[in-house]
Amino acid sequence: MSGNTWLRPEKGNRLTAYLLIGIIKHLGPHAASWLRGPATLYYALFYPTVRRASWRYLTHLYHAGKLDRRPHHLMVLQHIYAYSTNIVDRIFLLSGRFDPDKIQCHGTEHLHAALQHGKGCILMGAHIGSFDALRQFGLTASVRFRMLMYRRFLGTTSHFIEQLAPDFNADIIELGQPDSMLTTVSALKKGQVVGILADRAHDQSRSIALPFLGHKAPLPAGPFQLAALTGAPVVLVSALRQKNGAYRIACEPLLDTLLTDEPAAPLKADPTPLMGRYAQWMEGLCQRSPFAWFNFFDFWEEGL
Amino acid sequence: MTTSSSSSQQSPFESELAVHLVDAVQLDMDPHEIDPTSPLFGEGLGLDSIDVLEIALMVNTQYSIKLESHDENNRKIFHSLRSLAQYIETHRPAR
Repeated sequence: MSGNTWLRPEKGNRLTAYLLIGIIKHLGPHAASWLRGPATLYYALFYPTVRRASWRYLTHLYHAGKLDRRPHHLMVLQHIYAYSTNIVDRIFLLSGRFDPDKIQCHGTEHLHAALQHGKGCILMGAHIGSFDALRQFGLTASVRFRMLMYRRFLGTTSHFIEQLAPDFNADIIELGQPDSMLTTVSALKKGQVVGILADRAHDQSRSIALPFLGHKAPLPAGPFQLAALTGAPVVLVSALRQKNGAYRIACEPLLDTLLTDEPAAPLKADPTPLMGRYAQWMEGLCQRSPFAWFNFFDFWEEGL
Repeated sequence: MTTSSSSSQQSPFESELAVHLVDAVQLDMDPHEIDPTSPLFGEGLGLDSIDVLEIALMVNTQYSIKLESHDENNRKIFHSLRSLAQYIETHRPAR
């Protein structure tokens, strides 16, 4: 399945992770910043899939009218460079060395409002911008922040987490287990916040193809069905890197009206209205920060 | 336990539960065709953790049994139609 290449940890990623962690441990985190240039060239040269995925995305973005310049090949390098920067920032964030003044939060009132309902909150993100900056935001919140993720598949991420933020493991709810959703529901009932990145369709039987940047892409229906089944309010959250290196965290509700009182059976049966709104939100983020899109695989399943 | 664990025939209670289960997860198959010993999750019926959640909600509605997330036996309970039926039969409130 070409569309699911992200499920397999890449050898190159793992090597990069070890290399970066070694450099930080011995030379300090700033040394890692110097590696961004060489790392970009390395990926561009030896990972044609990454290059093609970037080009496909930039082309779709341009034709959807969300990129002001026609894509050229240097943009692919810029895109991969942004990803390298994201990885370096991740090291600072996970090891607690990121300057907290460089994280600005907007729209947190939506999260607070959502938590008022006593049904917890599904904090929904995407592989756009920094996931770890989001986690930083979770750490400062007064409620417990859990993260739904596929621990066993995420080569680089899990290495970083184990090495740099071992405490984080306790907050992960592992996906792909029979009781994953039972644990999630129990966390929500306790009023906790459950984070999920809802842009990667891992399960074809539970994904629905919806237009994204003008082309149909399979998106996971599971997170939206979970919201409809539990009635937990969904808050969309993004952390985009600004030109000055700060992260702007922005929250907004998925729907103006919250699915609180009765579990929303019709939306569970057909979550496409919620998913369509989510896809639009992702388009907005891509338009604002074109190089923050970190899905370097055949996202649209069009063949790379 | 009265049910023979080796039989692939559904007991009367398993048949009843199978109907609710197929309805809860909208499975495209005849409830009576479910082998009570075959795994529900992953291989076997191919259910995922959202289906497991829906089954838990159904069990709560139909049999007034709350399946808790922290129960270490969850994987055993949700293993097959038979294990789920046995759990319900031993835990359902007396009527």
